Amino acid sequence: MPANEKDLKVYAGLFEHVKETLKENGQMLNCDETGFINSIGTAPKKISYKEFENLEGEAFLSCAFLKFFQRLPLDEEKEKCASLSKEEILKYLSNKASYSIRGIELTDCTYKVKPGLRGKILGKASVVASSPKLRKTAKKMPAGIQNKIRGTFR
Amino acid sequence: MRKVYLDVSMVMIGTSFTGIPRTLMEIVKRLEQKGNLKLVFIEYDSKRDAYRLLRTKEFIDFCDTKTDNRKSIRSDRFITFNEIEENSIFFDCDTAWKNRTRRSFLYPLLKQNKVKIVTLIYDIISIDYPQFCDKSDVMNFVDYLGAALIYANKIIVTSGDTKDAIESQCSSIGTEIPEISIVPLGGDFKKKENAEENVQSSIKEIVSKGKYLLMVGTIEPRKNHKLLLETYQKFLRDKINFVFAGFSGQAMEDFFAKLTADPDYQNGIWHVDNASDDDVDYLYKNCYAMVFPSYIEGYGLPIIEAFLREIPVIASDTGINREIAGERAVFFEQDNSEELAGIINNLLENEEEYKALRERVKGYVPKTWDDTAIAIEKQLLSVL
Repeated sequence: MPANEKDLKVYAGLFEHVKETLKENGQMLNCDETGFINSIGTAPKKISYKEFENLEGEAFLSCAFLKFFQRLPLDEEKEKCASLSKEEILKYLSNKASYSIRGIELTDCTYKVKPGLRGKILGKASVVASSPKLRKTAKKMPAGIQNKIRGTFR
Repeated sequence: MRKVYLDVSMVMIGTSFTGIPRTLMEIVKRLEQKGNLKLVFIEYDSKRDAYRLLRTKEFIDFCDTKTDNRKSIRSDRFITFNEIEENSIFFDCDTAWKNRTRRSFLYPLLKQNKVKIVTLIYDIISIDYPQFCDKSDVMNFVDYLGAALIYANKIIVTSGDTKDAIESQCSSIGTEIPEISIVPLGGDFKKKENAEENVQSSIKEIVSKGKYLLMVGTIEPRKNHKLLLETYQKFLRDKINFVFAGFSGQAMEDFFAKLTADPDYQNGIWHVDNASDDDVDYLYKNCYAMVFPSYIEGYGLPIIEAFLREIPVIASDTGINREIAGERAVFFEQDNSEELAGIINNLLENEEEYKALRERVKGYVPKTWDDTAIAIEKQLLSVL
């Protein structure tokens, strides 16, 4: 259900406050405001491409990451996507484990965007890896190994 | 009986049951026991794109025993978002901003279907202190808080400090202030028998090394562990030991590098990772004082935990720490290691002052979880 303009102002107000506070503390918010605002109201599984197909550059990337994965792109991911077209970005994202794990269905999209083999395999593996017992064990591992595991299933 | 839906998706995949999961568990098991509301526990399932209904009795058992029976909790019945019944209550008290079902998506649907929404907001640190938080979490929190401000019939907070922060935020962004009620959290956690027998020998060894100051909480930037390390290194080396008890959080590489490079590391200053409840209890009971230098807290449960064991608290002078500790604690200016060292030196040198501080914390009676559950139930029923 798309939010109305008055409601969007609430989200935008909070976003701007956060951005300003970070700036005052010498930090940057690596997220485009238009991209964020367009991610508001995204459904957990069936995501319509129409909701963000008109966005460009940073706004498109921030929005796609937030819509699909509820996170911001890492520096290396931004770098990787900098030279890609929208279609290529969507294909790149659909090949991530998280896309399969979340069972995302991109609708209203003319591009062929489906999880690749890597994404599918990691998606299946994540079912095993996400068991609370295994996660508890993983949390006792050194930080470096934990980060590696997180990165694999990101 | 009125139905109350609780999305406990995050608890259902959690690995530790402290903080918010523990709070949720303490509240729901009492609400269920009282029997005035029909609790319906649900978990989002991405394959079905629907909520899985959880078995109430099994979920309550899990809350009570923490024994991992999660497979038996899950039923094979599902409801869609639109099947959450009209005139029921949707009570959000889990870490809902991490949930796949974004509240900016769910709340408008619920509102449209005439479901009453009550959101328990523990704090808005992500909004007012985003510099201490993961930026993706911050974005998710903006989504969650925005939806709560727009759509919730009632917001429950656990402190006056959080209520003030939300109201101030509403004023600055020019939106209507929602109805907000304060329900303080309980502090009467169940005590285990023979807890001391389960304490690790390494913990007992630390305690045996002499007087120590304790800090409890995840090692993360907003807790300001670095101030204690600096205080120790500059002013208190050879005067008193320091123990940091808590999981290693993110963005603390510099702190750990300084800590582990200290010549007194593991022999005067320790980090106890993965401590059990019994270990932490033992550390509390035997410490000289609990030091709490955080920049910001949602509630400051360690202050209550220290008071319950009649342990003196030395805390940073913040609104929430003052609200929780009142006159019982000693406060120091945020980030002022010299003032903190002065307080500790003074206590070490003046036995009478230390005794007087210990007297101040005697007879502390926390709010009980029963009080919390009664107040929550009242707030839930008030939206009907």
